[in-house]
Amino acid sequence: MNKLIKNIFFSGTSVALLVALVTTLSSCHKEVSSSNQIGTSYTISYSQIFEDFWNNMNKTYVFWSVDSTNWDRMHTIYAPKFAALDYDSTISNDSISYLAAVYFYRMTKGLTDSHYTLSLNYSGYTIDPALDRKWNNPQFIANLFSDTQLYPDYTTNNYYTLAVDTQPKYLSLANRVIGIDSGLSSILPYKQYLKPSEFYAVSGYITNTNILYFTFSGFSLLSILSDADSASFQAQAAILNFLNQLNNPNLSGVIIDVRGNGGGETADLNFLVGRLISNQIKVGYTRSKNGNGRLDYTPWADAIVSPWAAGTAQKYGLPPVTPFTKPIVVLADGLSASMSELTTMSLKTLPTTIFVGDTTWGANGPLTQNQDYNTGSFNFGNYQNAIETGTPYYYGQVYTSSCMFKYINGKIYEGRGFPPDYDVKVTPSQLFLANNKVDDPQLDKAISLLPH
Amino acid sequence: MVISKKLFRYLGLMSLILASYGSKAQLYIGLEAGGNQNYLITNISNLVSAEYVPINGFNIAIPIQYKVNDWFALEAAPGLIQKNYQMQRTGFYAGVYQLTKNNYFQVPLTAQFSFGGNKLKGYLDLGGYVAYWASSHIKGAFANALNDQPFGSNYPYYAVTVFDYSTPYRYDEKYQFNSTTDNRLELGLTAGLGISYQACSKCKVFTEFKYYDGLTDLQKKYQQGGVPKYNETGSLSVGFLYSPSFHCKHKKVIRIIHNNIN
Repeated sequence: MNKLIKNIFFSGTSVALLVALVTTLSSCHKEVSSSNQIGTSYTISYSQIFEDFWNNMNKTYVFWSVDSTNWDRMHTIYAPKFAALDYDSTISNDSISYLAAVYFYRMTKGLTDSHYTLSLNYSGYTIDPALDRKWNNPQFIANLFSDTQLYPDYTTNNYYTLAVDTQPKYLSLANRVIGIDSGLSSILPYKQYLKPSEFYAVSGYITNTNILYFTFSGFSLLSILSDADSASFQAQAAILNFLNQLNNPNLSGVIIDVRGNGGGETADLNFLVGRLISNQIKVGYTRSKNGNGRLDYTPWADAIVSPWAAGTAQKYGLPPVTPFTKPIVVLADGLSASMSELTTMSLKTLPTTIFVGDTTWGANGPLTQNQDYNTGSFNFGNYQNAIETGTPYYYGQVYTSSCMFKYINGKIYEGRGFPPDYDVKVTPSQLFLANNKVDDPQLDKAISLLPH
Repeated sequence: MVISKKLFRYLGLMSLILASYGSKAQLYIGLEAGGNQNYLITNISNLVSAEYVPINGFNIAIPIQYKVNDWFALEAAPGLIQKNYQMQRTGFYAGVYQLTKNNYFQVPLTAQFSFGGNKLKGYLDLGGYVAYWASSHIKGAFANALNDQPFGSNYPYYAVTVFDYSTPYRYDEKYQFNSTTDNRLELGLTAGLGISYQACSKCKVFTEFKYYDGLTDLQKKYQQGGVPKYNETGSLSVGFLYSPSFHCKHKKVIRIIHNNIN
């Protein structure tokens, strides 16, 4: 009996100690009030922000099958670091915000998705791993970034366009249409800095040739065309001129210039490429996810570009459609991203297309809102809800692809970029000569490949 | 895995103990078939407008029963069982789905406890099972990210479902197993209730309901933070059992064989 009582006593004591220990430990983890948290009135810790971010990435990021980042290892390394931010009373809030941003930067710097942007709304930091990789690539900088005149401020001027319309060497003054929207007040010699909301298009014939040239700053062609606002009329004229000239029987070829074009709406794929084809073309495959597992993927779906529906030209008052069989040269470079790459790759499936320029940016996974596929962009770290409206405020926001894209040749170019047939490197010093003269070796090469 | 080791140890020990009561033992073999409904148990509460629903399947097995005495028997029933489920989206995304049909080779090992009269008996099955995920077929549809309707197509003014503005990609294909993610060995517990009727001296027919509770994740542990998935299956079967001539007492059988040889 004594032994039994003794056993019960020891068992009871052990259980009590265990319960006390577990309670103490769990209460430590759940403690959220700290002077160094993101705000004393908020009920979220850096640990929770980290876990929310890590788990969302774990479940909704679509490139895990090809990404070299060891996401488990990121948890092992950074979970304790973020936890430490909750309890470190020796540094200021600003320093903690900065440290958190550094941790997020280190976790994400190797991610394949080149659309990926991590905006830390609370602290104001923005992390763009693909852009960072470009900055660290000496060749890329030499070609595109070294000249601050060419690319002065990425954050406010997202695109540049080579304004060839001002150069008689390239565009016949009598045969060009320049389209700008109301956001642009003037055209600079041969280079144009654009904000995302601004649109710029040029169409016309290369001097002394029958080669039709078309460039535009972003893929919003259909939106611009359907815009009833007079501010878009000039831009509409440039697009309509291009469509009109496609029916010119004397046309010898087309140059579509998407250099510096950061992409836009996928609807333009069937609009622009669809005008140049007579039958559907399979250009690759897309897949998304259908579960929470990192590798819970849907099957690969055929990526199809379709020609215009019958009667479309009449229906929308557009120039009539005649089958297009002339050679095409696509000009693209390291700043051609997203829809620019999908357009380049789609046109490259045609036997009549040549790609001249430089390897593209490498961001070709389609994007849409998270709930469409339960993948892609998400908010994390809900630290406060507005009292009156209930609007949630998040510590950060991730902008990332909803699907992977695999090209028709079976290769995935995400994070690597699509390589040209003719690799023509251009540095700003080669491009911009004295007295506002320009020499564009990429455009020269494109012209040389087409019959005049 | 610890659970499965314990399960095997328990079943082995139970078999040995019960086999020692073999003086009145009788061996039956038969066939059973039926239908089932499988539930995929997981957590997708974070996914918008998404749910898993149970899907019907069939099962067929060859039960081999070792009747120890009037109230107790051991049974193994190797067979084929389907464990199907469907992931589907709701609301605006209705029409997006994936039907997964899985075929398993399964061997349940159960102890059967009988009660009731001489001919009509009720019984309770308790035991475990091991199953091998032999093949899988997937059929479904989702919005194709890059296959818009041709420019100039007529779209409805208001999109009521996702397929009003996105072209569905439909597929119906054999699932290719992924050795990184798919755990093809399933272990679990089973329990059942049934009624048997002794139709003749050597045969009996039965109908039973069995519940299979998978204890192993359908996915390998290839990632941290993974959400486990388990099968839970309820089956309703009918079948018969037949006792071949080598029934009865071992010693007698051995004596007959011995006499014939001599």
